[in-house]
Amino acid sequence: MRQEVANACRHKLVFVLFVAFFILLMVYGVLSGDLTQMRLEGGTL
Amino acid sequence: VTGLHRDRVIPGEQGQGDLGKKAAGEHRSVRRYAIARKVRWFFVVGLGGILANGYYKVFSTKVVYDGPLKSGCVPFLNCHACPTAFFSCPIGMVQHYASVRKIPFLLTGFLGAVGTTVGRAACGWLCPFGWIQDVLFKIKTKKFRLPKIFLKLKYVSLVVLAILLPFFFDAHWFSRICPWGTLAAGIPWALWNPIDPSLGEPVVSAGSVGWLFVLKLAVLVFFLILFVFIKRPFCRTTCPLGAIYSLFNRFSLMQIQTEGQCKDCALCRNVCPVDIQISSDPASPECIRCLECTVCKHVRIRWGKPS
Repeated sequence: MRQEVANACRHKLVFVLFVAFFILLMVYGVLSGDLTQMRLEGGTL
Repeated sequence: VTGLHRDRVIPGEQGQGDLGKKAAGEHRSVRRYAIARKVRWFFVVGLGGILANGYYKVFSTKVVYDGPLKSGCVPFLNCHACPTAFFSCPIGMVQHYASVRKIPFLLTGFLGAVGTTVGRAACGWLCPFGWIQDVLFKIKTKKFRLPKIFLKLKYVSLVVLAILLPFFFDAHWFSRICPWGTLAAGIPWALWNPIDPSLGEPVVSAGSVGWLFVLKLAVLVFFLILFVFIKRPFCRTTCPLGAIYSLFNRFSLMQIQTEGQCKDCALCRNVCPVDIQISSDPASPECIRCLECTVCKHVRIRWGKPS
């Protein structure tokens, strides 16, 4: 039982870390101009 | 739903105490899942279809929307060139960034956050092309199962068509032959073909409807025929976005699991739009989290690692 709870907590911790990482990527993307990138160079889509 | 769950315990029948409370809780959960399965279609048609493609001003401007919303993408296939599209297609963005040889930080973060949280749920809850496949599969005729080997093709599609070809040859081949793009953008533009007010010429010139357009149509017709006989063949064999999300399915927060005494009756596989037996592989990369399998009382959502 204790092992199951520990596994569940570990999985949730990994999830939080992954989401935090992806949110940081998004923030970095916005700051580095990804939002304008599509509009400036995406004419061929 | 009542018919499918007629063997379920009705609240109150078990008498007082914990057993009655548990039964009441199960009954509520069965109703919640039944509502979710019905509401899913409103999400697909409302959010994925109408809201993401609500630029009806195109009928007066005669040109595709190019405002600030086009800088972003939706978490499902949605053709950038669809006359009424507000947003870009994530796979269009992947190809674009591959061809300009830059890393798409915002897009990676966005798709990663969605995938880590709900896995492939966007395929089941938002993608209109998936909905078209489900609708066509309802046509009563002989049905076929897809050999498992074909499920790997979507990774080839992602790597070759969406990344390598744009990277080396600046050719967006997935977009060129995407059947959803043909249906949502290619055919509407070719049929409508208005005069562009700024140029004074037809939007689609006579010369541009050549062999490529014929190829697009052939791919579309091929898939439309497959949709009648096989469950979601495009999502399972070709969609690069499905390939990306499928990488997250095994460790996403949203999981499907079986509990209690599953008898392997294959009810979950029969109702599943991507032909999974959820009891044998609850974290399957193909699972689109549509919750159709929750018609079985042993199948539930679990927010966390499957036990």
